[in-house]
Amino acid sequence: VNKVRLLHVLLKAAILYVALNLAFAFFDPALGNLSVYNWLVRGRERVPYEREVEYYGISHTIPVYEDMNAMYRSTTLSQPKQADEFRVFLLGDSSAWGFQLRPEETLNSQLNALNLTSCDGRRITVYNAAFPLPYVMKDLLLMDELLAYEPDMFLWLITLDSFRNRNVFTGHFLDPYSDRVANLVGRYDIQNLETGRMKDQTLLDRTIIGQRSRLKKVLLLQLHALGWQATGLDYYYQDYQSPPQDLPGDELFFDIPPGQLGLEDQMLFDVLAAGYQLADDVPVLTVNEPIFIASGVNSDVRYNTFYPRWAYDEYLNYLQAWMTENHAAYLDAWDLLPASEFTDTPFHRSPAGERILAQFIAPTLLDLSCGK
Amino acid sequence: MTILQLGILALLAVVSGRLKGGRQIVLLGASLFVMYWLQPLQEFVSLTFWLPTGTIALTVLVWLVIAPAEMRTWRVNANAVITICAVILLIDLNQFFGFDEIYMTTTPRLWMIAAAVIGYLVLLWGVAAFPMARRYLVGLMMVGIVMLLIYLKTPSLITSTFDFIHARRGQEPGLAAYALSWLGYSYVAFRLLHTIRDHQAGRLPPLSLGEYVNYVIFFPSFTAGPIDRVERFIQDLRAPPPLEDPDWIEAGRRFFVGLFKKFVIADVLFFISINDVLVAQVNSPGWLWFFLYMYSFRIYFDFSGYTDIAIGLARVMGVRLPENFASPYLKPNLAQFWNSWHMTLTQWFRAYFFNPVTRSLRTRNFPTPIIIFITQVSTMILIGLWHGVTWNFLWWGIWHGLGLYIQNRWTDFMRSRLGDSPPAAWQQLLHVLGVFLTFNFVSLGWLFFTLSTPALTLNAFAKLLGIIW
Repeated sequence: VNKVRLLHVLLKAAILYVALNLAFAFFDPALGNLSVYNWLVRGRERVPYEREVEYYGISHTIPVYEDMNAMYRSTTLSQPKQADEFRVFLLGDSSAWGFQLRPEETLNSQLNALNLTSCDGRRITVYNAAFPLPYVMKDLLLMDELLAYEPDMFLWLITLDSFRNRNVFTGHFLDPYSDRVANLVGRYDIQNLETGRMKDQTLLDRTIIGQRSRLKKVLLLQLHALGWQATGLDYYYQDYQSPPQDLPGDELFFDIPPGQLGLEDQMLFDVLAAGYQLADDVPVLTVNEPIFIASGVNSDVRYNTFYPRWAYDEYLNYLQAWMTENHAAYLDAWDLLPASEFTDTPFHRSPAGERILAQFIAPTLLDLSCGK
Repeated sequence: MTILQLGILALLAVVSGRLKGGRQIVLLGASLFVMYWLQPLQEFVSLTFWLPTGTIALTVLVWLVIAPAEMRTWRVNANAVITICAVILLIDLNQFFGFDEIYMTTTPRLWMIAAAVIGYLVLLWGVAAFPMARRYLVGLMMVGIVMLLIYLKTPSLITSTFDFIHARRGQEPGLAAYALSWLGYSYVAFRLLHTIRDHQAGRLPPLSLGEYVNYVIFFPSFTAGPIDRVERFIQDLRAPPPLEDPDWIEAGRRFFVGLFKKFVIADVLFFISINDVLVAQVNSPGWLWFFLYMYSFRIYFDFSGYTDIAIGLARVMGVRLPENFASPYLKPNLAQFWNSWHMTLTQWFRAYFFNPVTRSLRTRNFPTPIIIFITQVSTMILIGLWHGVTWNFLWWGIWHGLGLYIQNRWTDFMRSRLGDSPPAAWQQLLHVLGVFLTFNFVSLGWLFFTLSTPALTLNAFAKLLGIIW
């Protein structure tokens, strides 16, 4: 009798297990909404991110890009919008996120420190919504998500590298959102995005079993909330070397030789166009971010280790023409900063560099907030 | 260990437990395989094979010295000898099988194994041929087992050895400290020492090779205890009690409760437990106390979880392992805490160190307080150093030794004031206060246990008490 009962128990457990998984797959409960941030502990100043797994414990964070809901719920931008608030969401790559910077030193904090007020008397509050990956398609996806948080403006930092197709090592950012990406591609007729690597999610992918990695990360993000609250740290600061002044003599931009950049038919400028359409009546201010300009050996061939002069100049001309043609709000800050204001890469800026950039952006931001 | 590994062990336990005949041999084979399987990969890869093989060699050698003549016959031990040799050979043959998902394929060449076996057989023959030497060997082996334990627990000695080997090979020394992880040796050493001492005292029951090796490397308790006593273990091994339905339910309950404690509670608490980094980063005493308490709970759930798993696994094989924990954080004083925390370890030290030393000091007419001081502090220092020969484990031992001594003296003092049974109202209050104080004393002690250096520990104490920020 007991063996029969045991079998019944096991059978019921198995049925319950399958039913729970199927229910999870069909109803997709937004577990990312259940966040301890902004009520039990204070919200983060920027989205959770860290480069290496072994640093998660040191910086009290874990990247949860698989769940944008959980990611943004952990930040201050998910707090209810105040009546006197003019919300600006900063999008961009690691330099917008603030590598090597403390939360109070990042571009959005420097802009907030300027105490800007819109024409109608609202406080301009800039929130750091950037995820550290130079990829405009990722920004478009984030923009789509951020519309739910009542933005009054987007501040979008871009560089040439943001327009490359990322089909090898960073395509995984899009993987959990194949449906949304397909929707955006279809809605805005995005031609240049390589989507061959992307796979549609199967039923198994959507079950608890398929989503276990995401669920684990969301749970761990809640646990790291205590470390964040207790220390105020969200990044592992390491010693670094400044970008080199002496450069290699080759002219390749990654593996692209001169003359084959393909700005029109290979780079993701149609994603930039989609961004303006998606934002609709929310103004978008695009900023071509500053780059480190070397002055040593081979600096006549390259600007820095990333960009050969031919590629960046070609991009710069194309970008300016594109912005003019599309009547887009645009600032070009590519040569704004001296070499001394970069930290560990040709893109990451020092606190002083962020302050200079904030002062450069502020007047245009004010104009746009006034509808000019 | 991972959940998958534990699942496989559970399956192994259920199969072994269901066997009617050949149970001991199957269990022996299973334990031997598990020992190799769980051995972590070493800096020098061949050690991944030689360390478990060393455990077998040492265990067989000890058995040969302590087993009575009638148990050392080929007829009694043939099956065990064949099983041990077969497992070692099969493991080594993995270089040809290529099951690299299960075990490394870079096992030593067959001629190396053959040479090692021949050398070892000569040693065994020597031991068997000269019975008079066995008496000296007993003492020699005890010293050797303890020395090896000290060596393995001393990080600086391990690093020096590895640096020396690298230098001999003309290689650059590594930047980080090396680790030599001989899986289960800490517990193996205790089981070997226990049987040697009981042999010397004439208390050891006669054991066959299979029974002895089964006791020493019994896979559910091999890596993290509990430390069973051989005379009790052997009864279950020889005549396991029939497994009734309640036994299955209890075994399953212990196993799953253990999994939950280890992989849900302890692994979650890991992220909010005090560590070197947090001590440096945290900016308020309140948070530091919080992380310290979380560590206290984490270490309890982690360790007691493993114990529950071991007890559950053993139960389906008909072996009732001893309990290792009994609500230690709810005890009103430190002595009771140590009677309910890692109980089999403290019982071992009580039997083989504390009691003999106490008896020895009493015969020398030392005053009682001095005897208590010496025995308690030295026992706790040894328990501390068993975890690792470092300054922090030494201080952890001293912390608890002094705590036990002060508690002992305080109890005597209070008894002289209040008598054996204080008023009921007092008893309840004292109990609650005792639990609070004991838990906090133990928690503060964990600072020595988990932080890496005395300087950092001192810093943590100062921060917790609000002395520095």
